[in-house]
Amino acid sequence: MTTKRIIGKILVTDRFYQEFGCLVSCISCQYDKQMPVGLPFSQALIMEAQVIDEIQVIYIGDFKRRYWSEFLAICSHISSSTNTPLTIGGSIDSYSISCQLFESGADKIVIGRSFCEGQDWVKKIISTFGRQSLVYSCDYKRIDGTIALRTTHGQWMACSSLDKHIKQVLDAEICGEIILNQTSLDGSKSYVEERIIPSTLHMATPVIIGCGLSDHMLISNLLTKGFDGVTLGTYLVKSDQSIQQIKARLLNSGHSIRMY
Amino acid sequence: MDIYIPSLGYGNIIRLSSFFSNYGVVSILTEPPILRTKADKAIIILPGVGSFAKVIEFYKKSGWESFILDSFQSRGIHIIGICLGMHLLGLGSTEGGLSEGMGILDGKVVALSTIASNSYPIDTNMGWHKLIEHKPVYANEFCKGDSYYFCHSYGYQMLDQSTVLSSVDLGYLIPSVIETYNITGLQFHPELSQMSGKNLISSLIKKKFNS
Repeated sequence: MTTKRIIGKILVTDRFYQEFGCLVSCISCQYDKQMPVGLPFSQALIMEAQVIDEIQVIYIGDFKRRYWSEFLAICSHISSSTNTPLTIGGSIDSYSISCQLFESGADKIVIGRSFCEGQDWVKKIISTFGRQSLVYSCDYKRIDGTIALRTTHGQWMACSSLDKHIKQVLDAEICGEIILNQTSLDGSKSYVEERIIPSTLHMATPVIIGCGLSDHMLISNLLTKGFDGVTLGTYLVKSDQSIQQIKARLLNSGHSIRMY
Repeated sequence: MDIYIPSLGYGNIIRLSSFFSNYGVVSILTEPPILRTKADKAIIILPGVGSFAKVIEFYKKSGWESFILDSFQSRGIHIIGICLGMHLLGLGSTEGGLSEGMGILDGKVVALSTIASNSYPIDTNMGWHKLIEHKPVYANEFCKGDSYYFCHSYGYQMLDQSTVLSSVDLGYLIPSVIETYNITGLQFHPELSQMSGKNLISSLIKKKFNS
């Protein structure tokens, strides 16, 4: 059986460009509050050295993509210098942008809400690159007591049932993996609203959970419930444990974890 | 060592070329090469990029298919197919519509969902697995117990089990390493499998080329 995956998330921002003269990685809450933490390439190398299972690089710069070519160069550099699966995402809204990311070293790309809107370009990606190369990122948060899904270009739309939404995506067989991102949290507060965890776990398509995970017990519980892996960003930066130590604790808790 | 990789003109080829540049001089070509060296000093790597129907069409039109078939029949240049690259060597696949493969490997490629067991349904196999060896996989003590990265929605239903060196357990067994004469097929991605991938390819090259 497959091992549970620990996926390192690197958020790349242009918000500090004036200060540092380059794109930097950051930790963030709801993509708004950001704090620079280093260079994406260096972070990727450290993650690989600590036997991370996958690396996810997400561009959270402005939608005008002022520094897009620099971002693509960073992705190429990471891809050509590491041997760890690389997933890239952030404001993907066309076939040509998707192709740019694959050509810059993405093994998989992450697409958000536009994925579910029946866009022809998404179908074209599947027919060209295969279903396994697409990851659907379901970004959600609670607004005034109601679950809302992030739509194209950062808008939020009420969702009556996250469970139903995930089932629809799974039934459509249009992605190789789903990531549930609880965007109102980050790794500094560990909490996942368990009642909205979909009943679709243990289904045929892998489901990963991210955001708001900074506690061993919580991560362990989520893996026990059937998630195939977790994405960790802020936690990896703030924790005094290495990735190997985090994995060793999960292994000791009875999870199937790859240690080398 | 000369290493040739067919180029589709799209997709991620950076990783594969960078990975194999550790073992020789890599050339990424849209058309088959005119060999500069003896066949025993070269390898063709068929990348695991794309969807079967479109990629096999490219191989047929570009002349790569004829080149690979000639190499197989003459037991010439060694060929390593990775993931989709391995699928192309079979009888055919249903990915992107029913298409014929090169027919070197005696097996069909089908969606994992069609062969999954009820107790363990799966339509995408994404993640790290250990290999279940039926025969030694490039016997190297460093490879024993290693995990490799898989990312695929289709897999082989092999008819000729004698070519299967190892499988992966998805609740049912899917061939993960296949070998016949000068052809090797890997269902996983060695270029994404960190040290395990490097060790395995080093062992393979050492065995095949005694170098």
